Amino acid sequence: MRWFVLRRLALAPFVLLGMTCITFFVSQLIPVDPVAAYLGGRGAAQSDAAEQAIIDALNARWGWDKPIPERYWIYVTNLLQGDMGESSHSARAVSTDLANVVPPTIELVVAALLVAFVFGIPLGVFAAARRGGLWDTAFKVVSTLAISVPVFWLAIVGFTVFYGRLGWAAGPGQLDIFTRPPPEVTGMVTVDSILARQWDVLLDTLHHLAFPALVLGLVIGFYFARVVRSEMVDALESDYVRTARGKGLRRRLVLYRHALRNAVIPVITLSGLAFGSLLTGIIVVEHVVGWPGLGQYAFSAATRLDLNAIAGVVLVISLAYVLANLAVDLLYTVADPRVRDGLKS
Amino acid sequence: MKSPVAEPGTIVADAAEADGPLLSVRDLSVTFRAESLVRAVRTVSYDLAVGEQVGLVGESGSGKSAGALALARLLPEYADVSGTVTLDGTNLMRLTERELREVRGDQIGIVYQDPFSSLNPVLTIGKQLAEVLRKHKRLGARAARRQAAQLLGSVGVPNADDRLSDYPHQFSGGMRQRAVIAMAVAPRPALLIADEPTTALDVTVQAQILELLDELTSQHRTTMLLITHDLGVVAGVTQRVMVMYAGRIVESSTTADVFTRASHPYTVALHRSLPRIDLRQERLVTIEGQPPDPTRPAEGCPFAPRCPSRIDRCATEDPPLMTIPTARRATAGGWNMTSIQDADGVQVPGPASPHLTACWNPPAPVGGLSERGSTP
Amino acid sequence: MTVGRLRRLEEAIVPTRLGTTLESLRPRTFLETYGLVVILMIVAAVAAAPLVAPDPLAQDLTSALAGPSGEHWLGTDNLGRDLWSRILYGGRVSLVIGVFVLLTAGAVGVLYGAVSGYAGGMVDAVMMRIVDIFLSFPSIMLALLISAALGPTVRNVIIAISAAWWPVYARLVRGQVIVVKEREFVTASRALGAGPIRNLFRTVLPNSFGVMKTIFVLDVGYAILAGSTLGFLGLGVSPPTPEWGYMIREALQYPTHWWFILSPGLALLLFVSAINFAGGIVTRSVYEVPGR
Repeated sequence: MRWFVLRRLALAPFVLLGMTCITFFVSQLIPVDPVAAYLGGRGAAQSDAAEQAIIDALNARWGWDKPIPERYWIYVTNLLQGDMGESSHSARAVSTDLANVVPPTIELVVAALLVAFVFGIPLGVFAAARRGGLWDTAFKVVSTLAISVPVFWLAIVGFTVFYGRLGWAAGPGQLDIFTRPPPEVTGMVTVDSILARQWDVLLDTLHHLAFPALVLGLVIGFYFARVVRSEMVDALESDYVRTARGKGLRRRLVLYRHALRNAVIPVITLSGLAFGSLLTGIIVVEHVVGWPGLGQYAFSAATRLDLNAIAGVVLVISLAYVLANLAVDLLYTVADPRVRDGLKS
Repeated sequence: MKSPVAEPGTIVADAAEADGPLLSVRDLSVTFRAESLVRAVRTVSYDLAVGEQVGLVGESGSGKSAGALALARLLPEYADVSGTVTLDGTNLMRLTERELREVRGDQIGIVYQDPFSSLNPVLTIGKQLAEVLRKHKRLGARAARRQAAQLLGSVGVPNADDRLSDYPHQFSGGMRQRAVIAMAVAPRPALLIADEPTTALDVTVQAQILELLDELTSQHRTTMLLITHDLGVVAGVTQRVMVMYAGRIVESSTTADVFTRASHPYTVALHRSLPRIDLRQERLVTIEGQPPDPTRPAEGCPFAPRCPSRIDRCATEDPPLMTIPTARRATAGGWNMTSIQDADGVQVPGPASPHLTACWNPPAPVGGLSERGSTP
Repeated sequence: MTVGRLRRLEEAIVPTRLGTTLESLRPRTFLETYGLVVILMIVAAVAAAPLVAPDPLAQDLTSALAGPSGEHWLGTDNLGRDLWSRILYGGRVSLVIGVFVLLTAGAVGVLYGAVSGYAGGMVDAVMMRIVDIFLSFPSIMLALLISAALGPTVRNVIIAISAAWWPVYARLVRGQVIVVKEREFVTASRALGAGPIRNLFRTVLPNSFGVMKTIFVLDVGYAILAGSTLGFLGLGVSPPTPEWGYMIREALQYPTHWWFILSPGLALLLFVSAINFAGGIVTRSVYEVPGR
């Protein structure tokens, strides 16, 4: 088992290097003129000499005047030194921008996944235990609605009601405007406020975090719940669950110890895969509640054709994807003893 | 054998007075609600006495497993079960799930057909064993583990202490079945249901498992219902055999009787399909035709289409279980349905019931061991 | 969530023929019937939009942001345009996006996957690495990038979403083709002298279509959602054309005028959920192998 983990860890850097290659080429080969996009036109139609001088200057500054292989070489060597180039929009180093926007998104994603697991898994178990019944049908209806709802609309309506009308949710951003942020250590306000022992700040940021995390967590949670339900229905019809029932075990033990332990294994895989497609939700939710995270950054980078920033965002997401799948592999070996012994790949 | 014209029900009553049947099944029916209704078990009745080992034999689809699992109400929700199942004076069909949980595992132990799928793959053998003890013996974690090791050793798993922390996939098939047996007998149940316990195992292991079951049940005077499709399996272990066909018991008697003087054409056919050492056969005789479609119960005797000794009556009237002489007279034409019921009542297979057969035209006694066997 | 479905479908691959009997397409539960009826009603209403609704572009600033009334069933927007009409015409855009994304991404994916799977060997390896590259690039980034680069028109939204989706179909079809091409009837057809192209299109592909059919139907809903997400982000269909996502974006500034923001969102929810409810019909017709 240790060998398996080590091998996975050793492979990770190579996977990442492959990712850099892919992100570079995809972002560089898109048939657009980033300079023109920066200047606000679509296609560099202006032939004015002054315009041309600006264009040349920008091209030189961002390195667009060099041939592609050379650009890749510069990109990779710079990347290894932690340099991702400069964002054409913010005029700052992409790495600096990312250091600012990634921590808030980590907070949001962790909180949303927490919400999703905490209510999604028991809900799926609940529906499976009552399969075919009234509650199961109700679950089917509600969960189908949940996976059909446009997330951005849900976020807007929820925000209007809970913030605008009822005043339960906190306003935009991570903190109230009058709250002084804690000294920055990790960039995650929750963690930093704990480190600084500023409990009022912690409460404030948790209040702000609650709404976006709930919206995102609800949608992902229903998706998990559907998977858990279908896996649980299979597990509940299995022979080993019949054995457990034949022993006279309590219903809860049969459901959670015997059935769920098996049903949760595919859910682990799925949550790793779903991680990649979380981004859409992050982008729209951050957009709606003004969360200063990666989603907003990714959106602005893509719409402004800010190529270095795009490459940076994609790299971060790839990294998250690789890490998530590593975590999935590890969880897998914990959850399924057969994998530990190499019976299943 | 007993007097052929015994008063209805008296024999059973005698047995009940002597010891009282441990398990009494009356009119048990199981219907699966699938695309169409599948009548797996049709009004089956029988008694099991304390300490008896009884075989329930039939081909797959005869309803034997469904009927056995229905005793502990372990069938899926789409199965409708009716009738009464009385264990030690309690009607199990009337119990709530909660009450039933005290019976399952504690008074009824079950050994399942496939040890590869009946053990939970992600829990250790030790944990799966200990949870029965914790539930029914109210043991703490430690005591349960200690006793689990003992149990595992007593069913013949070597190094039981170490193997408790193994997962099922680390056990061989035979060892898994031993673990399943250990779980089933852990709280010393009064009734052990063994549902095709050897079918999924290698031939060499089969005999060991049967021997183990025999040993454990005789040791503790546990009643065992051994379900199998293989007449050979019941021969060495059981005292009594009930043969099922198409959801009904079609023959019931002592094991020796069923082997030496099988009196239902289906049992006779089963014998013919057994491999035999004493006869050099070119090939095994198989029973011709297919078992009836359980979704469309036919009129008359369900075995009639495959039966070599069928008579006209078989096509229209489904024969009840009768004593053999009655059945003979029925063939002679002097008896009709009503008069048989007058004479015999409903015959229920039990510890002391006579040789019963559900056939209008029982063949002359034929047995796998020819005629040299004697009545017990 | 496309990737999760992909895994399940790849595992459940049961090659079946394209042809489906009408009997197997009959809804069996209340929810399936409901979904089917709603889909049909929406399609009918959207098709009949010019007959049942006023001009969606006609502005009337004097009655801007009016609540639902006999004249304007769903109220009006900030420019006084009739929302009922804009919802219906917006439904046309959504339907077009949903269907055409599936046709475009489906056609590209099926062709690509079929060639890759049928060719096998090096060709397959190279073609699949290209697919991997696309799959590893977050699909929303790709769609945002393309529609930002190409500009906001219905056609470009379709191109943007299709570009992000085709690799999924390519992978699925390749998997199926690999399974099917080793089957007896394909070998038989080859033995009868069918050339590779004929064999691929007449024998292998039609038999690889089972799973595709399921996702095609279900993904229409997700394509509609994706299109409206782009619209909401301002990268979808350009303004005067009514589009549900962009309508929600416009309504963002008028949070107290509930009818403005509710109607396009509810329309999306109604349509997409109806497709998901009815989806069981197609899924079943694929996974229920006849005679089982």
